[in-house]
Amino acid sequence: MTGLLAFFVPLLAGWFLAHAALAGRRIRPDWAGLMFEAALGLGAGIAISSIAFFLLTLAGAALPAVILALDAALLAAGLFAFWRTRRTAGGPAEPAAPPLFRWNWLLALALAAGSVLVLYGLVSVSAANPHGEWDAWSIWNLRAKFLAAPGDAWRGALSPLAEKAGMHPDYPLLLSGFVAMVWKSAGDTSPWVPQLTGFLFLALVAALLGSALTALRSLTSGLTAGLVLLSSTSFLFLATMQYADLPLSFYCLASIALLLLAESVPAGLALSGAFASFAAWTKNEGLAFAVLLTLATLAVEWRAAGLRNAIDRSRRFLTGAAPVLLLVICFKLFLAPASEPLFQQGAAGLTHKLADPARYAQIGKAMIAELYHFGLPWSHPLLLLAILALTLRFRIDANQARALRTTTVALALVFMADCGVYLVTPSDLAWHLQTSLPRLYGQLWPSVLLLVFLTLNIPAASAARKPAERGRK
Amino acid sequence: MAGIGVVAALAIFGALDYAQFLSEYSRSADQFQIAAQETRFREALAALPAAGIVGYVSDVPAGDPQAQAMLGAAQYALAPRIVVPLKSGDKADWVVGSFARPDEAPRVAAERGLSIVSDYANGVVLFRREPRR
Repeated sequence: MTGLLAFFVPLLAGWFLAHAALAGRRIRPDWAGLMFEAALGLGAGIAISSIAFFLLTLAGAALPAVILALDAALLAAGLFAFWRTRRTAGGPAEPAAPPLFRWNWLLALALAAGSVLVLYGLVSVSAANPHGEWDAWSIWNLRAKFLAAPGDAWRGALSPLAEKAGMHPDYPLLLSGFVAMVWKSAGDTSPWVPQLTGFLFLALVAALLGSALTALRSLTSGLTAGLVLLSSTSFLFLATMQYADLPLSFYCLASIALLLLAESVPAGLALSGAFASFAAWTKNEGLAFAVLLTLATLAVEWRAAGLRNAIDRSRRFLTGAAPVLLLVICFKLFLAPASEPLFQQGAAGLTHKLADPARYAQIGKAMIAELYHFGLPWSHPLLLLAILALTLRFRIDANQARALRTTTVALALVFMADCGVYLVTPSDLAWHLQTSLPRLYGQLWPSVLLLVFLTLNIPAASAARKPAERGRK
Repeated sequence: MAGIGVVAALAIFGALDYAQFLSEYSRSADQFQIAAQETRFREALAALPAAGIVGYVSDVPAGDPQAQAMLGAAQYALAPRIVVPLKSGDKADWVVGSFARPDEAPRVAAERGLSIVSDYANGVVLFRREPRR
């Protein structure tokens, strides 16, 4: 019971806080706004409680009673913020426009039926393998066990010896911290906590993708994206693995969705920055994402609207990102300095690897092979996207063009950075590609789907949209 | 609009196919038997100090793919103790052994200067480092 409280209270607090932060939003339809808000809030609740637990641990005050008191305080803060903003509606309600696609109910039915089938299979796998895959019990949940242990034992997870034990002490702590918080409150290390967390993040990704696309384009777009996500089997499997890649994919998606909705959501840029910083607290790749999204915002805005506007938007983005980014930087510098062999290679070795064409070919081949395995052959997500592209063609809303450019540039930079890591990795390249490439695709996939669906000419929900708001690619 | 219909049909049949695959896969999902390892190490866990460094020995050669999984499983079961493969200069007083062939434990103990504290009869053996003469 205590464990359930420790799990769900921060989620509820996050929802209330997200409701307050999104007060005044103009996301239509209302149910999509509510789903968007819930997904963001639950994700934020996990991140905030993980950070709070880590700070309590640093202060030597992470006792079960204190953790529960902190959760209660978070809930009270959320309720207060909710109460303060409860009357702030998102502007006058607009009459719902008739959908242009009348088979949405059938798409919803197909999505629901497919989700039930796949969820049943994924739950069966998770039940049979409750401790998750290799990295779950050798890194993420293992570190959570240290953080949940009494006294100063948590320091073991950040010590140089932890590196010898393969625990990667410099990896950020969002997932391990949240799991440890619930474990410590409950007084045991039951596997239901990381299991449920994995499935929760899968649900959050689906809800956020669907609601963001419904708000930005149409219900048809949201449902069709859900069906393509349902076909992304390699991504879905992440829910059973209990790794940090699925949470990372959620925080990247949230940051990008908020950037795209920045015109409809007050403080959207700051919130986008906050979620980018949560990504940085989740995995090292998330730190790269936060930095590169900031740079992409600066560069695209500068080119489109001048330096002053670029600085202003980047400042608002960084205002939201700064607190948690500062924590991540302090963690990296003072608590668990990076011990990655990647950064300890000499210039000669790096140059030799960068100049070796065989490595480029090997990486390219592995990327194509892994892409093939990202789904089942005849319902492969790329096949489905190709069908949609051929039959519907493309359309980009003029008012989304700049944000789309920014986020596309950011994702491309992140992908290039990942490729760069493969090029210079000190590990055996074949092993490195085989063990990480599916997860790398998974990290970026929901964000890629969001961007692709914003370029597809799927029927709009609102026939009343002004022609002036539209552009043609 | 036909494209959306085709996508929906393919997605639903794909979901059916994937669900069947997952159902079959779930029968062999826990290939490292991590849940069983927690039970296997339970008695050793109770005998060890609550935290600190614990040495690790095994009869499975370090290069064997199984060796890494056995060490990882021991580490997960014994956390928050840090389990490190025993080397001559290490300070660990307590050493845990995970053996594929339990009758190898006395030989390993003799080679490494260890004394057997408990043999739990499931391949897990608890050692102490013998005082240096």
